[in-house]
Amino acid sequence: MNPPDRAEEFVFLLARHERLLGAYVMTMVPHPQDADDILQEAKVVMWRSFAKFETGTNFGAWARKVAFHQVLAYRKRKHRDRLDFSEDFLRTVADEAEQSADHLEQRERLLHDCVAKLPDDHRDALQLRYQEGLSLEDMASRLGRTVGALYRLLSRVRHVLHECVSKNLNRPENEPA
Amino acid sequence: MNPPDSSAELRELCDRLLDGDFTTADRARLEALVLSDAALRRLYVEIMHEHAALRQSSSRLGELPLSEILSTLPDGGIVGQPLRLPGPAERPPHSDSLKHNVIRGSFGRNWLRLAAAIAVGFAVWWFAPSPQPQPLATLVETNGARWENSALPTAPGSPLRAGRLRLAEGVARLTFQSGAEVSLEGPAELELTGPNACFLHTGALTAHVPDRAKGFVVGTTHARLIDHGTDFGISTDPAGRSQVQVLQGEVELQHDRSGEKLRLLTKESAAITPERFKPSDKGEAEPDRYAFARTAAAQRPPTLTLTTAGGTGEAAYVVSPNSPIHYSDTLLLVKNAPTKNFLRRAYLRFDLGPLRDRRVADATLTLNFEATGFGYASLTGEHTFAIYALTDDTQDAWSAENLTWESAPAFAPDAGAVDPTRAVKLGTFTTPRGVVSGAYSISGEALADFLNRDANRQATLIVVRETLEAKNTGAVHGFAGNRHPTLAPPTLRLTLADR
Repeated sequence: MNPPDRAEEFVFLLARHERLLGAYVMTMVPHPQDADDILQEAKVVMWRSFAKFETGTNFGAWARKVAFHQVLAYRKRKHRDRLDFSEDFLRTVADEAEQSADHLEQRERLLHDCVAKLPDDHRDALQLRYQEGLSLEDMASRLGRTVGALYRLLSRVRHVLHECVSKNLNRPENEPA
Repeated sequence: MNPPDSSAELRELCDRLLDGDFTTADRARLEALVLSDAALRRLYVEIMHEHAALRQSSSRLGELPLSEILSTLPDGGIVGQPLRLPGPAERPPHSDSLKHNVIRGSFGRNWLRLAAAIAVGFAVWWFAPSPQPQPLATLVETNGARWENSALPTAPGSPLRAGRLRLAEGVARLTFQSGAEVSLEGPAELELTGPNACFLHTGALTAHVPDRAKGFVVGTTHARLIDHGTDFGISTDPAGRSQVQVLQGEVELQHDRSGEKLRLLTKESAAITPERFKPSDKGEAEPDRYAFARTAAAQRPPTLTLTTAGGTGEAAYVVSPNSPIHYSDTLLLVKNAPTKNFLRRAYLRFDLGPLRDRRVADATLTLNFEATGFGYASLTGEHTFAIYALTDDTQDAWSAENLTWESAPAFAPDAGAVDPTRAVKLGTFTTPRGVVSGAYSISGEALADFLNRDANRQATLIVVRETLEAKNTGAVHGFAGNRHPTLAPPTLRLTLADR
């Protein structure tokens, strides 16, 4: 293989890690718009400072470090919201996510199958909530159900998915080869 | 080890964080749980990670993971062209800074092109086996149809996905995926909710439901109609009252509130009120979709219509200082912007003399908007207007000639508000995106109460635009004043209480 071009290498590495990186940011900043902004900023910073990244070292860990700094910077820049998590919490969660990075990646692969196994109405609810990005109120008027019922439904679906992933994770065929 | 119920508690906190009302107390509790226990810490990260993963499967372009794009490239399955990252030939030979720019430029272009190419196919792989959400129905033909703002396409032949059709007049015929055929009569608002289901917000439709589409559902405000293979007609008035008539076959009605069920056979009909069904004994009578309105009209108490052109009435608008251009003789202009000049609000005075001692039971104020030609309607989003009533009767004696921005009654520097010690808000209405004409109304108890209480029988109303436009290029709104050649002046329609 030829020595890879720097941009090609960046695209390739980002490709492998971007999804997990987005989730990493969301564990600390659940507000979707803020999380998106932070992720975008982090990607720009990563590309700008990519010269400092040593090929062959752990890109995921490097990217998470950049993203974590962007979370802190964003938080400092923005008006402090009383619902924002404390810095103590952010550091703890970031450490946990760092340690579980491989584990989370594995869970995400299994999540796909678990979504496919959901009953239709559960999958429809996920589709409206996540793909179309509807609020619970809009979902309620679209589906002719109450906000409370949908809240409980989404809560149950999340629980079912989490259990499904955990169960499959422990099945022998999912052991790392 | 954490007790089992603290993981349940953590789940509930996460549910509230993601879908509900997450409070500061919740935040404190969530932090305490996560900081205190390694297993809960792990659970929190897993839950949030799953939430994020579901969300990232959405179709927004900016979120398209590059991995998805690149992983499809080697066998060229989805993207027709191979990935073109800058090869050595494209690099300028000896300039590092230039090289840097070129690479970044190409990188951006490639990324966008690939992302765009794959967006459609990738959008839904998580949730649905099919690559595109299926249309629910097809718009087959229209006759004399005029459409209002609608998110759905309105050209005959268009596939219709979930959403609302707003038909101002005429007839539109659609066929659902299931085969159910519906003719919608304007004015009507129909929401497509499924391949064999819809919700009639207002207006009337007739349906022909072939055997294969049995089970076709029409929702209305108070009841659901479930078809068992029929031709039927159904109408809903703006108050949510409906009429159903079976032309041929059988339908079932289920009342939302009472839970009552009713089967209707050929030539039977029923009315749906908020409380219950009323089977009609008219049998084969002509369908009378306006029966409610007519009954209401027959029993309606006397009404009175007042305009700002009557008696000592007056209509005017004021402009903030240093706004040298854009006046109208026929329209009352209203605008709210972040600048200090070019702000406008309108003042209306109704002479309540003709009411004498009668009490107002219900009142509606109607304003007839028309394009002013100032600013671009296409740059104009939804706008909310508020109507205030002047409670300080000492300020009622204004005249159109002498009114100025700062001397006008209940002056407040903010163009979207008034002095709250001298006026009360009666209501608001909202004009849709890009729309600067049409009749808009407010009605309700607040307006009726104000008219009943106004001691000097001179009622001043103030119209402001609450929506602040971002730049100064959006439309200036205007509605007919007393001197408009064709449109009615601001009008109060009053229903009088029994003596």
